[in-house]
Amino acid sequence: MSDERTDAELLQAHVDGDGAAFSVLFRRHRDRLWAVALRTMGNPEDAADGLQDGMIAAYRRAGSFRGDAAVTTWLHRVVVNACLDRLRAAKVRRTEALPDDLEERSGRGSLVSAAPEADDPADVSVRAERRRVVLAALQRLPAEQRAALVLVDMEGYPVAEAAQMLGCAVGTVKSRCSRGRARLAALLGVLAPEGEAAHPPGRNPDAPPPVPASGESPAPP
Amino acid sequence: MTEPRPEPRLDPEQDEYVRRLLADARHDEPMPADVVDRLDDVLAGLTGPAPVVRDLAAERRRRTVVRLLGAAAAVVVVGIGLGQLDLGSGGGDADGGAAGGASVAEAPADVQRESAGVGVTREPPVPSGRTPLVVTGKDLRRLSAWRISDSTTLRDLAADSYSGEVPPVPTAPSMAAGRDDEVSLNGLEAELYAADEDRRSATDDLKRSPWFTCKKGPYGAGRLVAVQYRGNPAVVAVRPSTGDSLVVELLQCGTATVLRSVTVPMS
Repeated sequence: MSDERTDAELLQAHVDGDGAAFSVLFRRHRDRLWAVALRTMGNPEDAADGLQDGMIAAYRRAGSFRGDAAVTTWLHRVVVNACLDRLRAAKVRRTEALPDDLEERSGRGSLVSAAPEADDPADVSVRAERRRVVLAALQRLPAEQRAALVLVDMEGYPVAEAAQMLGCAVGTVKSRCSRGRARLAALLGVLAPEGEAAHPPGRNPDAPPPVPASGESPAPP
Repeated sequence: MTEPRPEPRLDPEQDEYVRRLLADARHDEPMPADVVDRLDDVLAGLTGPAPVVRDLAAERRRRTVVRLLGAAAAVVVVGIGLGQLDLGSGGGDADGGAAGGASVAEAPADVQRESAGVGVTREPPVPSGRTPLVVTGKDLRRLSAWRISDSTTLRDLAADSYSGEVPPVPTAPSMAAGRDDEVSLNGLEAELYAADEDRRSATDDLKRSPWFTCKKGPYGAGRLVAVQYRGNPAVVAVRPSTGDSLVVELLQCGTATVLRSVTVPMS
């Protein structure tokens, strides 16, 4: 039988001693929290560590929740901060190896295609590769910029809510997002060499074609 | 000195394009089953009854360490076991913004690492036994489900994190009754106890243990423990406490690259 209590009721029940309430609450939101941890940390193992840290912190600090934000916002804040704490403590840049030709191609136009999606398996493969490249580049960003982009651009949270999750001002989130996107653009070759403004594929006649599948002619941009 | 290049500015089209790429890379799969199990175990450990601890000798040793070193007792969590983790961030916000305890907020992890003499080159630790002290993901999950203050052996090891001295031979390991998880954990504890005995009687042999091939490296200050993680030798470092918490790290052999780290409250 599903528990129909609201998030706030569950959290309060937990604070009041209901031994099962926190589990119900966490289970309700764990998939999205996992997604945030995974994209922030960059790999499943570190994400599991960070999410566990955050879960335990939330469990222990539930009594400090003042109700001035949604419970999910508070949960995300705790988890994101746990992940960022881990990243800071390790002082290890979680980098993913970029494709061998990334550095060479980054000055010759975008590495990722804006071609519309299709159900063709070849297009699915291209899309998967594009995601991989984007995620690898995301890991090259400073942790704070990465976290901001994960919350705003990936998870779709409003900037104001992301600011609550990150514990900073709205302007700070906007700045981190802006700078993070600019860095990503440079890494992904959205920008031409020397920082000249360029445009995504489809608008730049000099852009290389999308990665072709199995030797077939590349689709037009 | 070369001036840093200014970050490029994106026009609205480029900005929107990057945002679409990010949105497309959103993770939509549910949490993996193994992570679900792991977190359920941890939650069960948080909500379940505490195992009974009976090791008064360790308690007395701990109080002695506290008096001599001016530090509270700590525990070692090998690998990624967390137990009652209490993290903190620079904010120290009571609204849950500090993802954990104010203790770490008062001593940010990077400061802890600096004060821990991170980068100080040291000889590798002496292995705990002739057979590897193997840490697996499953063991770590069970460790994390424990109240780590209940682990006598781990407390003993951590109590010497300052001095680096080998703890005296303890009495019989405490075998806390209760859940099935404890069988595996006490097996780990028993091995650690045996390691102390072996270490005293055959230190030179242990130093040549074939399973532990770590060389000198920048392991930093604190107590070092030789372990095997995913088939490879590794080093656990219990950093000296900087306040209400301490950092335990799993380090790669030789390079001392941090593979895992955990911040635990001093209790």
